[in-house]
Amino acid sequence: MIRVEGYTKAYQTTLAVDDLTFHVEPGQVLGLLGRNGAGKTTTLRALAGIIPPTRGRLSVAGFDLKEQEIEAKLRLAYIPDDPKLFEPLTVWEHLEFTAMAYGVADLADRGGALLRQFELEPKRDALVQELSRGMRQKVAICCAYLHEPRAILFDEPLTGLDPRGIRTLKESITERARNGAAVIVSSHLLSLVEDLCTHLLVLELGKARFFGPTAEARRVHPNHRGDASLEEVFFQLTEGAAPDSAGPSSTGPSSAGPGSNGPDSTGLGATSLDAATGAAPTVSEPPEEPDGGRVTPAAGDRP
Amino acid sequence: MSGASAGAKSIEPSAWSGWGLHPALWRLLTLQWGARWRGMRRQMRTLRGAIYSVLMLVVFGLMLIPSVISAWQSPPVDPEVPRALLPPLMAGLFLLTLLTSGVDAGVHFHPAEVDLLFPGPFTRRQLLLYRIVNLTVGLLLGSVFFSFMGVRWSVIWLAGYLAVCLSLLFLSLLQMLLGVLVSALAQATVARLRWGLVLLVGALLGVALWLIWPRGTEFDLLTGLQQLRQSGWTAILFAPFVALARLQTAETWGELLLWLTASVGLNLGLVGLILWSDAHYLEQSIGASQRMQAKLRSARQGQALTAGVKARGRLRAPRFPRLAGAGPIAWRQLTTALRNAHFPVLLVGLLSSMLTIPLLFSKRNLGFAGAAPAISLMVFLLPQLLQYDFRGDLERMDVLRSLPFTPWGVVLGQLVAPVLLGSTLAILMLVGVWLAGMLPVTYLLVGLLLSPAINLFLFTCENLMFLLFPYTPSTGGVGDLHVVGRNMLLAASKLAALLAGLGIATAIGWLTWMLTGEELISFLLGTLGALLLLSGLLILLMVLVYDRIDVTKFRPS
Repeated sequence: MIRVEGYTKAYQTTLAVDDLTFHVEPGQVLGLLGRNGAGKTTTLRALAGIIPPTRGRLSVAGFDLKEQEIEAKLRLAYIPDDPKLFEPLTVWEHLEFTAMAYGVADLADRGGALLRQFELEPKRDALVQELSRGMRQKVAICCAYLHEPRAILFDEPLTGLDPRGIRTLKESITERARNGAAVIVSSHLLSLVEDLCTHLLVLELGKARFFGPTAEARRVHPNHRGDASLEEVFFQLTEGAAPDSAGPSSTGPSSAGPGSNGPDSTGLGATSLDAATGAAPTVSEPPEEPDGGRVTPAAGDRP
Repeated sequence: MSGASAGAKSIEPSAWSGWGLHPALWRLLTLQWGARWRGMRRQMRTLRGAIYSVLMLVVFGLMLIPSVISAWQSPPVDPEVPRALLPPLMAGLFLLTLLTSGVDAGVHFHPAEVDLLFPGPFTRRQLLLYRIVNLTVGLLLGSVFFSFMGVRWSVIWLAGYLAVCLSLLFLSLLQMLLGVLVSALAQATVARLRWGLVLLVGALLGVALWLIWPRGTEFDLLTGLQQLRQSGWTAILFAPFVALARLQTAETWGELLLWLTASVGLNLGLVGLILWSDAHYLEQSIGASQRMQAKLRSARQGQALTAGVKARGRLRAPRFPRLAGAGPIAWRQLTTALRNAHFPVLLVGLLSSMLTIPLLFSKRNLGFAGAAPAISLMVFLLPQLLQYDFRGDLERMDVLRSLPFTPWGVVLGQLVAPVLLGSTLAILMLVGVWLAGMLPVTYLLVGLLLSPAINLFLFTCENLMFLLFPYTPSTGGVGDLHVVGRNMLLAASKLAALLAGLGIATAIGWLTWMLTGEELISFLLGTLGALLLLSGLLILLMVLVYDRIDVTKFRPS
């Protein structure tokens, strides 16, 4: 559903993202983790068609974001961190505009249901400038869900939400994934990622440190056998080893089935790299990698 | 769970393939215009909103009535004057906008547009068209005001109105085209070309100045500008602006139609170029939009002159003793001011030159009048430019209150940086005028002695007004009459208080002068004493107000 192959984003003096390859299939929820400046938002913005990649191919639902940008955008939704709304418009007017933009015919039914789900019905005719930050976040989520996107990109989605809002959002993400959407959630809240995500992509200074099923990530930790907390795994991946300085780090794809949270069903395996120590990468399956520390995608995964 | 998607059928979306603006973007525009009108009506329904709205209309009326009466009573300005002045004026305005906003500012969007439209199913061309339509409608409304302000500059009002509208649109489109072109080039290329462009513009300005520089005894700006307009490359450079100036000064309906066609054609040409380029400007636009929003936010908080100024260098003020908090507060504000000092110094230097150069042509000692530019800059400009006090801490009032400092310490600490910098700049200006031989040494000494006291009074007055009536942030929409009216009332009250205080101090000085045998020193000491006494009283009031302040009233926009 979401495919990223060799994505690189370079600015004048900075390499924001370096040769990133991953994909998210229908039913999967990918947690995008990394420290500040790791390249998470740059990756999400590129997937949303806002910033062009310096190199690489990105596609959504089979549509290339460069060649078939509008077709791809019609099938995705992007909810940025602290989304801004049109201040003088009402909640319902936001949905009305979104429905026209994406060609949603049954606005009354879908819009009404979303407002009920996110407890916004009493605020239907309120101006968004009168709403709290959490409520604005909910409006942005309702707009994003309205056209039943096949790919959903969240950047720090819980900001400003109350406990009820958090629960509703988490349930909605799980439900949409179950119904076949591919979801990416970028967050610093490891508990959220732990609860929701079937897969993980850990970035460090623009390079992938790990990509694979969440369960596999736990085995990365040297002192545990699959029972490490996500926090321990995260620090092991981002601080326990310096990023590969010898070159770009590619990652092996994982193609666990929809909603899968278990071991990689394809046998391609999840990978992590430890170039600083020179140790072989911690790889779940298969145990051996062909290039001694760097993992290349499976044959046929690149165009 | 009552999920919307639970029973929802999957949508198979299809891209809109029509020509022109996407229907959803049209709908968005009509929703936004409707919302502004709705907001205006909503505000007018409350008594306070109605009063402020009427007040704003009165202020606008007061600004327009003299122009309209003047146009009614006297003949229009000779068309040759605007024809000579407008082309270089518009070219200068364009260059100034580029220098102050950056080359990519033309492609800025509202934050909501960035978040909701950029990832939406719209082509880059559709988004640009949306922005152009939105801009045009805004200009069609806004130009009514400017056309009445400059009603004497046109023979036919409609021609003037259309010229203002199309000129502003032309400048905006030109900036947009530049922004789109910059996006099309690699960032590294832009960085390499930047200094080349600066040198080129500098060289062009140098040649222009050389062309209009007076060579005889008499300086005639109009003749100089006419020469500039007609000479070689400048004629080509100014050609588009000439068409717009001719529309402004059309004397018959036939001329109006002719130059209107040309001006509309120019704008359509630019629109065509912008849409044709189809550059991937979205990424560039995010940065430009963020910068523009930061500037607008500062401007709405009353910091219009310093909006968008970035700190440069790592200058540090010397450490002061704690003094109940006055020391650390003064150190922080002074360090911030020093790091931003390039901007006020540049602006004051530029404005001083603009005000002083015409006086230099008279080549004579002007007495007290020689100090007029410095005094007017000190009273009207510096207090707005040097907001390194409570006004600059609008977003930090709660933090300020939480510090372990006494109210006296905070208040005195906040006044140090602006008074020190304001006095330094005022003294530099006076010394400059004296060095140019336009000010007697006596007046220079008077200025040197009184500048710190005048600045103390000015900044104390500004800060007291700020603490009493904090800025109410405006969303900047047309419907925000309430806030605009309130801010206008506050600005007028502040100016009245400033002038009254300075008047009282001067009157006391004059009284002392009369009573003590007309000695200059008596006038000086009398005025100085009065200014210090008034400032002391205001500082006392500031301390009392600050001690009881409700920080929730200080809402950043």
